[in-house]
Amino acid sequence: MAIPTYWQIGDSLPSIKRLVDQDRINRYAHASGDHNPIHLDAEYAATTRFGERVAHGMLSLAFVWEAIGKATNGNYEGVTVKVRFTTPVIPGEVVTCQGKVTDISDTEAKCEIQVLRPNGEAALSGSATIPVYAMA
Amino acid sequence: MSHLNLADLSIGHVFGPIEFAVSEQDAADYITATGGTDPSPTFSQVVHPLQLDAVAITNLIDALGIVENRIETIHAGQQMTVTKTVAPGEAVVCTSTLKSNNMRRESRWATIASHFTATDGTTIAETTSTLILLPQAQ
Repeated sequence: MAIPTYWQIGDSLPSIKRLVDQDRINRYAHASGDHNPIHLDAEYAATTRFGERVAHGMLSLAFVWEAIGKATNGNYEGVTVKVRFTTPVIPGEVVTCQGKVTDISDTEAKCEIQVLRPNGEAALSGSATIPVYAMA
Repeated sequence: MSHLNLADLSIGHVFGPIEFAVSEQDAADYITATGGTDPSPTFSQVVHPLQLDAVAITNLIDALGIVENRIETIHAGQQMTVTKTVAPGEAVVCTSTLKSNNMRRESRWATIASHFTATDGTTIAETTSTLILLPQAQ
């Protein structure tokens, strides 16, 4: 099953609010194997266009998949997520992942998704397509 | 280790295939690192699909020497379609293909598609990554 069939246009995906601190970034680097110094090395990051360390975009994207997992009881099969990373998340920020159903048919629900930074800017935005099956 | 220079690669260049398996411990570490509560029956049964994508991207980063050569890179976009979930320990084969590679405003933009299969060829997932290598990297 994916999204319950009683979902309607305008309904929201479960919201995820998460602190992205340097400890979480370090642990994500370890878990993903992505040790790019722009995420980990303050001295190096200061020389980049960001001027400071930034979180992995894939970490923010993980929150989107977590929200979808909550909506589908962990059934990811048939799900498509497409995003653009628009602004970097700075260590210490609390981000909010939110999504809304924009279209629904007999076979799938389409959702707009965003991960927002504390200043309201989107760290990422995009869409998700989630198959609709009968409720398990 | 020698690295590939993206500027030298033609459309259709293939990275891999690589074969890997996410261990139960790695699957648990990923869930813990992202701070999530496990939405799947248990993460001992299902690997978070985005963890597979992370493996592919890390493989590309290594192949292109992005970390070792301190190439400043922006991850601009990502798409993933999941066909089948996998269990920890299950072998996954990932093949990535360069789909676009061009200069825009002095930066190099590349789109790389990755196809994840089981060892029997069954599709697990398809992903597309858009990377921008900034001017100082050229």
